[in-house]
Amino acid sequence: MVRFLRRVLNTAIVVLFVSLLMFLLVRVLPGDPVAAAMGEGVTKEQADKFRAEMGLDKPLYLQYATYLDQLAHGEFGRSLIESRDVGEIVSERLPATLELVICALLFAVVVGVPLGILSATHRNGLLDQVSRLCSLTGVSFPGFWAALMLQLLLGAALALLPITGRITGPPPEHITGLYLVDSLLTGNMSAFGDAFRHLVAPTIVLALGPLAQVTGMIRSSMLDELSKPYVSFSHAVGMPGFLINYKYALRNAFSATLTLIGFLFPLMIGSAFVVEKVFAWPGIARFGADAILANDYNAIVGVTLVVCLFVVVVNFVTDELYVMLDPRIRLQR
Amino acid sequence: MVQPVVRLSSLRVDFKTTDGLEQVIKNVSLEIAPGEIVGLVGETGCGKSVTAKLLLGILAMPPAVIAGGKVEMFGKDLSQLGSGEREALKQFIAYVPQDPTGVLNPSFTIGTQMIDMIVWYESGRRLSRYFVKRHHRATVSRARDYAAHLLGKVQIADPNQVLSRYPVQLSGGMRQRVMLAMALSGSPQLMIADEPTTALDVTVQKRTIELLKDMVAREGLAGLYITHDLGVAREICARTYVMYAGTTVESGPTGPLLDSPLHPYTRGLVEAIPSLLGGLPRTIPGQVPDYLAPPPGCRFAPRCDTAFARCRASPPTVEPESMRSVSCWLYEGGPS
Repeated sequence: MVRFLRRVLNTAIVVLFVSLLMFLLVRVLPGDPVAAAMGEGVTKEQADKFRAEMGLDKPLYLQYATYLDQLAHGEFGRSLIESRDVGEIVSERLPATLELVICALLFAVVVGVPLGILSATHRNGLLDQVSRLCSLTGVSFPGFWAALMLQLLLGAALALLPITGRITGPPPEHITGLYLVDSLLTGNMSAFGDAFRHLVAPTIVLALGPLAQVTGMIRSSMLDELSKPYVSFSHAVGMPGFLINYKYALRNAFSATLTLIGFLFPLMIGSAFVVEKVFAWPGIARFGADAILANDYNAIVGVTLVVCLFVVVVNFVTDELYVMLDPRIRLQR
Repeated sequence: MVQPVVRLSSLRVDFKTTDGLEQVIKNVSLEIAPGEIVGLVGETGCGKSVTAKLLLGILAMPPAVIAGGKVEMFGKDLSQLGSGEREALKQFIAYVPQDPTGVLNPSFTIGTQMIDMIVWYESGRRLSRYFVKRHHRATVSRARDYAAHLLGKVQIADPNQVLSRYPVQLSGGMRQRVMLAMALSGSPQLMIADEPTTALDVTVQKRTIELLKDMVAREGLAGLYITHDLGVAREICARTYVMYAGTTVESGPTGPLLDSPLHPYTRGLVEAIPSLLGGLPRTIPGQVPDYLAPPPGCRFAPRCDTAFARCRASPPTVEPESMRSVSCWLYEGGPS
C-alpha cells in the first residue's frame, strides 16, 4: 500500500514536470499560433485582441499558473484549431487511439509469442527462416505503404473490409468509448461486428513493427532458456515438450518481452498517427500531429499530458506483472 | 540368468560436426544387473556424460549418431522403439544430475515442479488428460501429499514447508535432496547419477552419499553412478567400469579393481589419488586424445608407459580373472 501511494506521488510529480516542460517547449518553438489560427490578412489590432483573449500577452509564469489553475478544474484550455476545450476533444478521441493501440499490441503478443517459441524450438528450420525474414520485413516496412496496400487489397480489390473510419452504422452507447467493449457491454452485436471489421486493417498495420520485435525478442530469450539445465533435465525425466516450452521456459523467457511491451505502448501511440491519417481514424495521435503543425499550444500540452499519464500507468502495470512473473524479485521485497 | 536392466554392447557413437566426424564413443560395453550399483569412472572428457545422456534420452541426435553396437534398457532394444515408447521408459529412470542449482526451474516452487511430474506420470503421457488432472483439486492435493511423502523419504524434516519454497530459498544440499525425491516420483527401477556430489560442500557430500546409498537399497534400484572420485566409487559401487576416451578399458568388482588394477590407465588413476602419507601424487602425462583424429588401436597407447608395437591395433577384451575384464594387449600374449 505504501508502495502504491509512493507510486501515485511519483506519477503526480512526473505529470507536473512534463506539463511544465511541454508548456515551455511549445512556446520556444518557432511559429506564431495566432497567425496560424487566424489565417492570412489579419490586422495587427485583431491579432492583438485574439492574443489577449487567449492570455498569450501575459508573462510566462502567469500563463503557466493560469494553466495549472485550469487543469485543477479539469480544463485543458481552448484548442486553436477546433475552437473548443482540449479536454473535450481528448476524451472524444483518446478511446479511438487506445482501442487501436491495445488491439495492435494484443495482436502482436498473441501472434508473436507462439511464433517466437516455434522459431526457437525449430531453430534454423523453415519456419524459423520464414519468420525471421518476415520480422526483418516487418520492422523495416514503411507503415503508410503497408496501410495503402492493405486498403487496396482487402478494401478495394477484395472488398472484404471497409477502407476508412471507425464504424459505419451508429456507434454503440458510450460507456468506455472503446467500441468493441461498449458494444459487448450493451449486447449490440451488429455494432461489434461493424467496429471489428473497421479495426482489422489499421490493427495489422500498427502491429507490424511490434509483432516483429516481440517475435524476435521471444525467439532469442527462448533460445537462451532452452539451453539451460532445467530444460534438459525436464526432457530427461520425460516431461512433454509442450509443458517444457510453454510453461517452464516461457515463464523465464517472458520478462524481457514484458519490458519491451512497456516500451512499445507509448511508441505505438506516437506511430499511430500515420495509421490514423491513412485510415481516417478519429484518434488522438492524428489530432496531436495536427496540433503540432498548427502551433496549437493548449492542444499539444493537453495531448502530451494525457499520453504521459497512460505511459506511467502502463509502466506501473508492467512492473507489477514483472514482479508476479519472477519470484526472485518478489522474494527480495 | 537374470536379465540386465541396462546392456550396452560394443557401443559406438559419432558426432557429426562442422570440423568432421568426432568418434567420441569407440567401444563401450556395460551391464547393470537389477539391484546392482555400477560405477563409471574416468577423467573429464572421456565420454561418461555422453553415455549417461544416451541412456537418459537427451543426447541430441544429430549431431550424435549411433554408429554401431546396441543399447538395451529393461530388456528392450532402444533402436527398435518409437519415440513415444522411448519417452515412456523415462518414467522408470531416476535421474540425479550433477548440479542441482540449474536443474530446478527458478520461477516455480518445488511443489509445483514435483506435482507437475507426478501428475504427468499418472496421465499416461496424454497432455489432455494431464491438463484435466492438473486442475482437479483432489488429484492435485493427492499429488502434493505424495510429493511431501517423497521429501520425507530423503530426510527433509518439514516437507510441506519445502514444497512451498522456490529453489533460490534452499541450500545446495537441500536442493540435491529435493532432486533425489524428484527422482523417485516416477516408479524408478534404474537410477542414473551423474557426479551428483561434485557441486556440493564436502560435509554435505558425505551425507548425500549416505542418503543415496540408503535410498537405492530401500527402493531396490539398479544404478549407474558416474564419478571421477574413486573413493566414492569404492563406497557405493559393487562393480566399476573404467572408461578412457570412449572405451571401457577395464571392469570388475570395485575393491579388487582399485587394489590391483590391471589396465595401465586404471593404475594411473589409482596412483593419482593423493595419499595421506604425503608426497605429491603421480599424474598420468598427456591428455585425452582429440576425437577428430584419435590414435589408431588402443587410444591410451600414446600416454601409456608400457605401450609396444601391437598397441597400434585395437586390443581384445580378455578376462584374466573371474568377474574381471580388461582391454589391453598386456594380457593377450604381451609384447611380442
